[in-house]
Amino acid sequence: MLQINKFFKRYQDHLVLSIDSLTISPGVNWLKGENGAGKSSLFKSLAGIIPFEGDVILNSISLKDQPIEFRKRVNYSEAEPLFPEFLTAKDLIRFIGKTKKSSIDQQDYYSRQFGIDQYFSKSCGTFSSGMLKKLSLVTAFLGDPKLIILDEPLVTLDQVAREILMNMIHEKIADPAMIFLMSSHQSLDSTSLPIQNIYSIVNKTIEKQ
Amino acid sequence: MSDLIKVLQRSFTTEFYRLNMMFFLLVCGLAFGFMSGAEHKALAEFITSSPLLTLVPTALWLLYGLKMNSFNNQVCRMKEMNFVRLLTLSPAPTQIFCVITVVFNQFVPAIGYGSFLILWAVKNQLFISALSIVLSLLVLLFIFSLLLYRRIRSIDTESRVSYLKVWIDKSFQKSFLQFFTEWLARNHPGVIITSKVFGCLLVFAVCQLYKYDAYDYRLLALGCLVAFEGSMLIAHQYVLFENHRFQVLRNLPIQLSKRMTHFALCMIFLCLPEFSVLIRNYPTQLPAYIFIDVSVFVISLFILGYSVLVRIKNDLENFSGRVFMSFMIIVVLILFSVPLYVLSAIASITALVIYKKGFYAFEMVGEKAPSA
Repeated sequence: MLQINKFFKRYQDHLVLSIDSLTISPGVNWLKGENGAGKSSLFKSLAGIIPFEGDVILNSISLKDQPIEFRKRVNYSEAEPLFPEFLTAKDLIRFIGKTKKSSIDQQDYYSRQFGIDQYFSKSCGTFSSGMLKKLSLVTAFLGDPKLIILDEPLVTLDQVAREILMNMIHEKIADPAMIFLMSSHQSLDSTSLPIQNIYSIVNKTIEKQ
Repeated sequence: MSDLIKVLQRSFTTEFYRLNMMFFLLVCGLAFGFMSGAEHKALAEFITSSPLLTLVPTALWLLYGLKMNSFNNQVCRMKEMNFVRLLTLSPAPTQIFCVITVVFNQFVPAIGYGSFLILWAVKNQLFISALSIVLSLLVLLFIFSLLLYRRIRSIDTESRVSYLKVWIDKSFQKSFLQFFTEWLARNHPGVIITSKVFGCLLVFAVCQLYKYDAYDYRLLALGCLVAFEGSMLIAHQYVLFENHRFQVLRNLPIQLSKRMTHFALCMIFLCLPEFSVLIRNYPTQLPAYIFIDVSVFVISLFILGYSVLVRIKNDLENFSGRVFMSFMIIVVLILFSVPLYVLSAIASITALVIYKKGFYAFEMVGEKAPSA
């Protein structure tokens, strides 16, 4: 269970998003919102990348009080991932995998799923946007996360890669405690995903549909 | 053509001066604050007295040109700047004129000082010195215009990876320590070169003073304080890398102590040139433990600078002010013989407290979206 309490995200004095109280249950959760509504800001806040006011609690672990424990359980894939161009896919996956306590077998498994293993020793600077997206998605599955945040996961992915991603999500949600939080401008209804809840950002706050 | 030049000026020239404002302020401060008119004249007379000595300003202009070139390469690498390649669709003379105008405007500080030296040389009828300065400026202008011209023509072409890099990438896996150091070397070589040249020369000069007079450890401490302070620019780049260019690092479950240790290791690695010069020229009249004291002292200052950058949201103006104030305080404390280990302990403890409070609350302010 993910609890968001008294959440405020501001840039300078400009309020972007405020959530008084919200509980997100396990399963696949879809967050909708217009461009600039604050989806990515919310995701980055939940992933511990940018600061915010309030607190976020995942299975009794507070982001503010136990930042390391929280980060072990939360993985994030950006909408438009960017990595240092000289790093290889292997450098990134091994490094992020190590910090997330992911075994080499697990790293290789997810890399194989997306075909990243064939480009393991190629530097990110030579990757297409689709390959970068796949690389980012692989890193979001490493370790033992209980919350996986995917910002626009379908963008730049081809049909085959989308199906692979759906299968990976299906595998993960076999765990009853697993939470997926995804944003997508494309409809997720057509996918085989069992959408648990749909949320939308309206008037700088989140409403459940 | 004027519209074309306007766009290029905004993208390359204005940005170059805006981002290096602190550097230019520092140079102006040194040139007009510390040196009087008579001293400027004496320096110009010395430089122009022999054509060989004109190589000294030429070397400095070359460093400045490398800094310009590094900036131009960085701009060309930005995805949002791909449109600059459209310049290649215009006739060759237009392209060349635009590129020369941009580089000329970036090179104005060097041309300005060069003109002063030329006038001085002509006034004193030192025509060979004047000619060598003119030639140096023209050659540098030509080289850096050519480099920018070639860079603009190669924007968005397929990236080629050298065989050596392919072999290294296949054979070795990079450590976390390499992530930042390689990023800095690839993206900001000018920062490394200028800070290292400045630092090494200063450490060398201070060590030489001990050969002619008797001084205690305080002179070495003051010299190292100034020499290593130049590397604070690297600390600033580290904060940018960790929190902006490679943002996912903030999502990783890495202990704060480990993050701090990693930063310190990167700085030690990048300051190896200064440490080598210090070891090689270490004054015989100082006991060996002073070397350890000084080393720990400068590392603690780096740590303090890093944590302050995190605390003040990477606000460079604010940072420079704080660095200057701390610098003055530390100078006074050193002069009053406060032991270096005490200063190191105070700096380290303060840094840890600030960092613990500031890291998770940190957010880059006023930065553009990161580019690879």
